[in-house]
Amino acid sequence: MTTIEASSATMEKTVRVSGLTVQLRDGRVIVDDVSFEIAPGEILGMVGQSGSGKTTTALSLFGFTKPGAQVSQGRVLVGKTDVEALDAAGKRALRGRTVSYVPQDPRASLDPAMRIDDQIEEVLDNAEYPLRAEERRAAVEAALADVGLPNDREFLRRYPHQLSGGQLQRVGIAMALVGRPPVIVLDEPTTGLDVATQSKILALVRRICTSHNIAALYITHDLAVVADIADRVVVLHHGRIVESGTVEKVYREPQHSYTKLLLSAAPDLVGTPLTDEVSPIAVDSTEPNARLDVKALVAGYRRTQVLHGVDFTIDPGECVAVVGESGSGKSTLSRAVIGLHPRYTGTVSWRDRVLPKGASARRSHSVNEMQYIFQSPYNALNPRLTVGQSLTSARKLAFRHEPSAQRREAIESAVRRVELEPHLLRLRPNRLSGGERQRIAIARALVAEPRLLICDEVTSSLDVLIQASIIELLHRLREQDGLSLLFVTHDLALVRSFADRVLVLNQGRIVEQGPTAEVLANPRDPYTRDLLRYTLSIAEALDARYGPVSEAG
Amino acid sequence: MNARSSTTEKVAPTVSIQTPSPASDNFRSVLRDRRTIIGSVITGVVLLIAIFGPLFAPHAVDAYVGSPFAGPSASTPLGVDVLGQDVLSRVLNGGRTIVWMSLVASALGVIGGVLLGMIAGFVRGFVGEIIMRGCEIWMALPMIIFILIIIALFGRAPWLLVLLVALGHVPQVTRVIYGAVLDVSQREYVESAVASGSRVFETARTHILPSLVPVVMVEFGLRVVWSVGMLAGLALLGLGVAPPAADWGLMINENRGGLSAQPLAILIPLALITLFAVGVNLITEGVGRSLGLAEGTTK
Repeated sequence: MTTIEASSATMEKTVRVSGLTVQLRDGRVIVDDVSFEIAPGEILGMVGQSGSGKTTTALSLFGFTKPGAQVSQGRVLVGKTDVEALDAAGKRALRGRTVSYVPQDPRASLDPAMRIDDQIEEVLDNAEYPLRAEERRAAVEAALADVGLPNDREFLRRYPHQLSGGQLQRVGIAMALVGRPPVIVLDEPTTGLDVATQSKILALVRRICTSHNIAALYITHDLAVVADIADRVVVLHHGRIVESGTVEKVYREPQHSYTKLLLSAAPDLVGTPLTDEVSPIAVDSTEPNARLDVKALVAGYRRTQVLHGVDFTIDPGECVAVVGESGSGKSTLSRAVIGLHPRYTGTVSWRDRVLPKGASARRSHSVNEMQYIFQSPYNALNPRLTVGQSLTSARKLAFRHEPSAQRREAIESAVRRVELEPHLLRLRPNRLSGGERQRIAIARALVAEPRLLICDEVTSSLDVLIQASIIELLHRLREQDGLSLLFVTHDLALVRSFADRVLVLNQGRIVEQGPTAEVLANPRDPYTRDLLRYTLSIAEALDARYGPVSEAG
Repeated sequence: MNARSSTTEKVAPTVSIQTPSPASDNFRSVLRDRRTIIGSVITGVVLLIAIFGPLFAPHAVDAYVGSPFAGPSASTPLGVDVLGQDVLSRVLNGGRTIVWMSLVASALGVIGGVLLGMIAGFVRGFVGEIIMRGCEIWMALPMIIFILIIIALFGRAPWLLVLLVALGHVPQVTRVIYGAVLDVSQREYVESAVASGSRVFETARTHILPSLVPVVMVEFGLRVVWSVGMLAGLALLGLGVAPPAADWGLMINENRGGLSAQPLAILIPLALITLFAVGVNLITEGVGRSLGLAEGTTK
């Protein structure tokens, strides 16, 4: 890294943004006096929570603002071009040729009805620089070779649905590269990918930027990714840069309180854990048999079998994490347990009684005691009901005949237990933030007075600070009420500080299970080892790049 | 642990301002919608004419007041029709039938379609298949011929016409509602209710039906247009309201021979029918849209 930093000081910067301010029509400022520079071959990480203005800032490099917003001040220089001074045609010529974009979800941004080579070639359509057919073909093949994809005819003629997620993201990067732009903007390009694929894509981006001397702006909310890939980092908060500098400096000696907060909230496989070390939680002795017992669970959809004989138990008060990547069957598993996926064989028992397969056939007692919390807080609440109405209907399902005063009290107490104010009860979900919605979803489970919460990726769509606060909340609920948790996630780092035991699920089979610390320290199964190796860790990435922290320094 | 607790404080939600209740929220956004306002004005005018028109009619609907197809004069401001009757009086009298018949037919059709669509979409399985395939067969039958047969067999009582038009709507509405229900019933809040032991009827009432309101509104508007068209069409074929009663659809039929001599006798009822259909559509679409927007399913 030192070589690049040394040379970049003398070299002309490729991107220079100074005093950029973007305002909405009503005068609200969404990007406030943002300045940064990127040198050739350098990767600048831009970190911030959703709504912090990351994407708006990045789009300014393309001379693009979302409808209703406009650049009110500041200059954006890309090479020697002042982006804001360009007319529409000039901006069009800039995009793809001078600045290109790698989107978050390549599956959504590639045209499903267009073959791969045609899509990549389309970038080269430009009236000002017409290319001959052979030149185009050669450029496409070179770009695919750059991203490590085959460039034979068979592959080129494929459609997006014939590629895997990792291959699609490589195609997305190839599209960004094909015009040989000096600047690339990457907008969370690894968010939807498995850890192993993510690590390969990151290495690829690093290699390409260095070899082609490309200045890259890498937007993400994931601090570990930035620690792994970026040279310098800017931290955005409410549209302002609160801190910037080299990755080493910002991560090891954060100055601003917000940066410190972000770093402390990021789950990490190494270093100080999120919550206090897991202490064995006192089990309510009156509930010794509130145990979930899953035996030989086999489930699937139509022709594909997803789960191949899964066995596990959850003891009263225990938190068991199920870790698996997309397609491992972890959602099917949790849905079968709760009765939303009745097409299974094998048994699910609660309190030593085998449960019927569908939720509608289960007795209300066992239904109340096991509650499910969904992944997306945006879909989990009925948008047409107020929060209070949602909670009331959930409470009525659990306790059908109950005086309304008592019901009201139960609901308010559930809202307080998730640390919200009861006046939120009168609002509809669209007035709440993502974290508030997820808390309400948890409150909706709590009004049924459950003994076991099944949490399906409950934090994966939330920002890191909110994720940390939700984890903390779940931890507290366990401590206070002795709730058992089945915590389904793809994030091994998150599990570390939180779960008593961990089950690793790979292609519908439990490949490893045991106490969390033990599995993380001595993984026996090769799959678990891979998962651990590819899971990014801020501390490990920093140590690998800059060496361990010297106590003297 | 100190850093951690400060996290919670930072993240702790702060919605401090008192917000108006959602019901009044919605109501206001509905009233603000320009489409709804224009639609209400148009529909209001047509309804006023239809309801109170008879009070202001200068002549009886079947009185002979001048030579057929005579132009406007002092006593007949809109001229005279094919049988020498006053066009203005017939226009003022002729709205009631088509307005109530189209509204009732649409309402019945939509109610039937919503019920069937919800059963098919939420219960699914064998019953759902039967309903949906039945709808397809029903839609394949030419409606107008079916209506002609029934009228030929049982006469042309207004309630029968209304029922037949409503039956024509049912399969179309069912299909639309079926699609909407399929979408809603896979949302996580519906699954959450199911997982909490909610019974089918309860889930449908608390979670599915409210989500359908915008779709149902828009569909109702569309159905009114179809009803008006169908009823006017039946009147044009001479199968709707029987003369000498006044009816806008019937007037178009009666006077079509004199279009060049006395266009007002056709154009005025035609304009009123069109305005009614357009007005109702603007209202329902406006209300449906602003409800959908106000409660937006995502952020």
